[in-house]
Amino acid sequence: MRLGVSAKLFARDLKAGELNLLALALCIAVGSVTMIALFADQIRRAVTTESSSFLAADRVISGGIQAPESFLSAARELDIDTAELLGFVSMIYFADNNQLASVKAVSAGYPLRGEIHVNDGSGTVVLASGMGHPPVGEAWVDRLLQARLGLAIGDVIEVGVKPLKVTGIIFAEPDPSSGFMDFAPRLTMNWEDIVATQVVQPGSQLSYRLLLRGEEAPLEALRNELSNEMEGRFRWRDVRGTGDRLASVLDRMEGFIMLGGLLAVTLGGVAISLCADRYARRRAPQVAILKTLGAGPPELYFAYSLQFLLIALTGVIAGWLLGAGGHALLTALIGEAIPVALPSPSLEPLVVGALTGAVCLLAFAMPSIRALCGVSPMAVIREDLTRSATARRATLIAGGIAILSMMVWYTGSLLVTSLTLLGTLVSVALFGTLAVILLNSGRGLGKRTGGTLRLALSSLSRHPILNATHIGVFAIPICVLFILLLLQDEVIGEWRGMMPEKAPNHFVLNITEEQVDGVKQLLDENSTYQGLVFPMARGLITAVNGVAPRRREFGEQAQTRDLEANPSTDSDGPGGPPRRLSGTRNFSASENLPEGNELVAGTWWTDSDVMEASLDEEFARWNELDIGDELSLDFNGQAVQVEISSLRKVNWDSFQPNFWLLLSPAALAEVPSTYMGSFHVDAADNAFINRLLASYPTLSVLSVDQFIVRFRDILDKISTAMNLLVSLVLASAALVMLASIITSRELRLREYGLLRTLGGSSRLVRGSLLLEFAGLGLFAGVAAALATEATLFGLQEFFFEMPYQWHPTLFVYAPLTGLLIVSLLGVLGTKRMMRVTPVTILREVK
Amino acid sequence: MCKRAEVATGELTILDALTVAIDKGERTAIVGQSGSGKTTLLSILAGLDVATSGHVWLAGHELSALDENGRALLRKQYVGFVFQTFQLLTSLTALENVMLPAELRGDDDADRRAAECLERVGLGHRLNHYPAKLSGGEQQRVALARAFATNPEVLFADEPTGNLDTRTGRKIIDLMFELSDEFASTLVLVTHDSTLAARCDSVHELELGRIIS
Repeated sequence: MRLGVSAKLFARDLKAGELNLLALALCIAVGSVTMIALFADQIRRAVTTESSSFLAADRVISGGIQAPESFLSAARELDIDTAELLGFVSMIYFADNNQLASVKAVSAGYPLRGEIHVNDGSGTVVLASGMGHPPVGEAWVDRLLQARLGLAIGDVIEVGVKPLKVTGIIFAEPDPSSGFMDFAPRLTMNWEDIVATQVVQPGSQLSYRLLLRGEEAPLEALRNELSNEMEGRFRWRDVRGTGDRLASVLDRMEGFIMLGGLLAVTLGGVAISLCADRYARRRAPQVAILKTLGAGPPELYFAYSLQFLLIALTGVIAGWLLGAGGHALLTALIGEAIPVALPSPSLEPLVVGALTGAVCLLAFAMPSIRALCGVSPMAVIREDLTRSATARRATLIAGGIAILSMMVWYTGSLLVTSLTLLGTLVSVALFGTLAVILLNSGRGLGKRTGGTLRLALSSLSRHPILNATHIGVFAIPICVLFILLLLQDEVIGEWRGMMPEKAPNHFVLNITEEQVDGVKQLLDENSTYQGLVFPMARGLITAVNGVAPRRREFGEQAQTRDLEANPSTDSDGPGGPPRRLSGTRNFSASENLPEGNELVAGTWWTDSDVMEASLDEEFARWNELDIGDELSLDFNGQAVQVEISSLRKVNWDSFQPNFWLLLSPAALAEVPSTYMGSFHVDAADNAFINRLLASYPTLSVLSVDQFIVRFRDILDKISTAMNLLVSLVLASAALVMLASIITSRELRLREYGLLRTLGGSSRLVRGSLLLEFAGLGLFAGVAAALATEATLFGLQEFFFEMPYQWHPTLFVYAPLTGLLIVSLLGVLGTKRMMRVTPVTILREVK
Repeated sequence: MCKRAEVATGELTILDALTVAIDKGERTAIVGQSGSGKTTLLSILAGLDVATSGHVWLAGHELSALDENGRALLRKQYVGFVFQTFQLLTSLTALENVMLPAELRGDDDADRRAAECLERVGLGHRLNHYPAKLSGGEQQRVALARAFATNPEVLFADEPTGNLDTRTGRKIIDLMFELSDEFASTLVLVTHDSTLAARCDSVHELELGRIIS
């Protein structure tokens, strides 16, 4: 068949509306997938950028020495912006007071990401990235340092031997760090003033950071380029590598958004496949007639391939426009809801949208057309135009492979794809079989009922396979919707649990034994959270089973003196366990297993007189320690011998004081200890902290409030984004259901048209149709509930690594949702049937 | 020729060692009871189906030696069809349906020729109507116009009046005979209707796949 005739056929089919549904499904599917992918891509990038502000950069190279000039020039060559930061602990002097503080000297360009809120005496100003460094000779202090030293704007303090004028109080800064013990009072000064302080001496404990900002590809290139030079001396860090709460939240969010996109791709694929299948079925007579008129198989194949390419092209372009328009509208609408500067999305979502549409269309439609091209033209005379089982199988296989490939390509994870697909398909197939049996039994039940119900049951049981297929198709979007809703609920719930409203936001340290009761009482009276008070002692592990730890060292030999990771030689906190035993560290003791700790091996001491130790399991693993090992400890000359009796899994995400090493109370009884605790007071309640410090001037109070506020803020933004994603997927789900109803509409029209011809009233037909759709929706809802549970189990256990628990209410909500949505869409999809005369229906669907 | 088919109970002989010759310009009726093999014979003669054994010639070409592409080419060049169920494309207008065979042949004046044919069958005022808007008789007239649009050497008609009332059927048959005269086409007609068969030059009666008269 010549190109001209093929094009004419296409144009005529288009004019007659034959291609409308397919083109519309394609357009909406491509549009929704594109829109979701655009949105997901944008949100992912926005949140990553936002969270980069936790580092004040996209990447950081940190080490105990300053990064060599070669690092900076390599970064410059790759168009990567840089800034430098030096962190050290120093005594700050003001009048007669002094206070140990965490000092940050920053170069021009700091921060590369995030912003700084500083009160310069005339009000709080927000300094954007690149502007957050005090001028030479000036310093900015945080509120804690201000309170400790009683500072005011204009006061002159001394850092080392350098006098600096306080010109700002910092309220928020991008990298307050998340490691426990790093929340000492803070001071920010200019990089140029470092030398003058004379603080940097050989042997000083320093932490240098080279901050980097740039696109992903150059950053990765830089990492590869510098990997050899960094070896052993520098660490490459990104926000994911911090091992803290934020990294886990980001991983979850990315997983969720990816899953949302994946489900949108699946739904889009199913919608297109339904319409493509319908289109191929309706083409059967056309193909056969064209054959009788002398069109050969190659000509027909060419004509329909061209037709599909044209449909794909039109649908994809229209879909892109729809997706981009929808995305622009969405961005405009939710600009307020997501107070994150949304970056321009990449082009990848457009490719995802186009490929989903085109691949699903061709994979689902072409095998049918190919099979049709091969049928004997005798089919026209015999009116035997049903597709062979082989053709159906080929369609299903080709379509299935297409959707699976799209899913794997989109997620880049065979695991997530398989879990989602297996959970959904196996459950739907199982329930589909059950539905066939139930529908068949409906025939018997129908005979015992009357009127409308009898008609509905009889219609359901007349086509058990077709209806079981419908149940499966209806179940998929309901299942998708509930997977997202429940997962969103659980992921956000878990985050909120991680950061409860009244989580401790201050730590109090250096409490002496005599002060414990008084401090506890003050905290009980003024704090909404009564944190436990733990003893704390600094000590050394001098031997393990009689062998000095240095001889047992292994793994990362060259540990950098990284102040952020290890502000006090070895701190207890998230970010990975210390991988060596030598050096001083914190020890605590507890009679009971602390909150947020889980015993994973051994037994917890029941007798407080024993000399035992309990280790964090990761710490034990890294340092090759196990239950039964003897540890020799030294607390300022006082030797203590303990045996490891248990291993714990520590929840570092809880804002509780946590320790790698916990001793039985007897082991620390004779060791001079101070105590620490945590409490919650409103951020603004400086009065209480001042009162606490006034009553007990030797105490140290550390605030983690700034971190919590920022973290919660990011959680809110992510939650909003997830809600929107669920709404978009809901729209796609409705599309699939509508497509499914429309594709089976002709069969129902014919049967109910005939019923009306035979005298069935509109009311009877309408009622029966409603019941039929309600039945299908109900069955689909139950199937969806089963599929949702199975898929969630897989996803939570193996991908999100969250504890799984089943959702009994799902078996109420899912069937109810199915019943309502399918009934509504079913009635909408067939309402024309009630308005036109029976003869019109019969003629149209002949 | 023979035509056999595999069925669940074994092999079924549909046409059994059958020989038939139809001359150019002749009007032939194939009659017989349902299941006698009439439609199968017509389909094989028209190249829509293939015989299990034997040889079939159409317009001097041996159909049995051709593959589906070759047979399609022959149909395009020499054959017109009229079916009991009209077999119009529902997505095309009357004019577009009639244009289709000419377009498939690559004729440049397909639209003019189609309009003329529709005018000839009395549907000049219905050119842009879709089949669903036409009566059964009108649809069959469109089918006739389509069949003659390419001036076919042979017209195969399978129960052309089977779906029409007697009066309309008679009109359609009159028109078909007129057109076949006009275009000097050979006519091969499958029918149950003995009156209609009587109007043909020759009649082949089939019973159980054999010609009995």
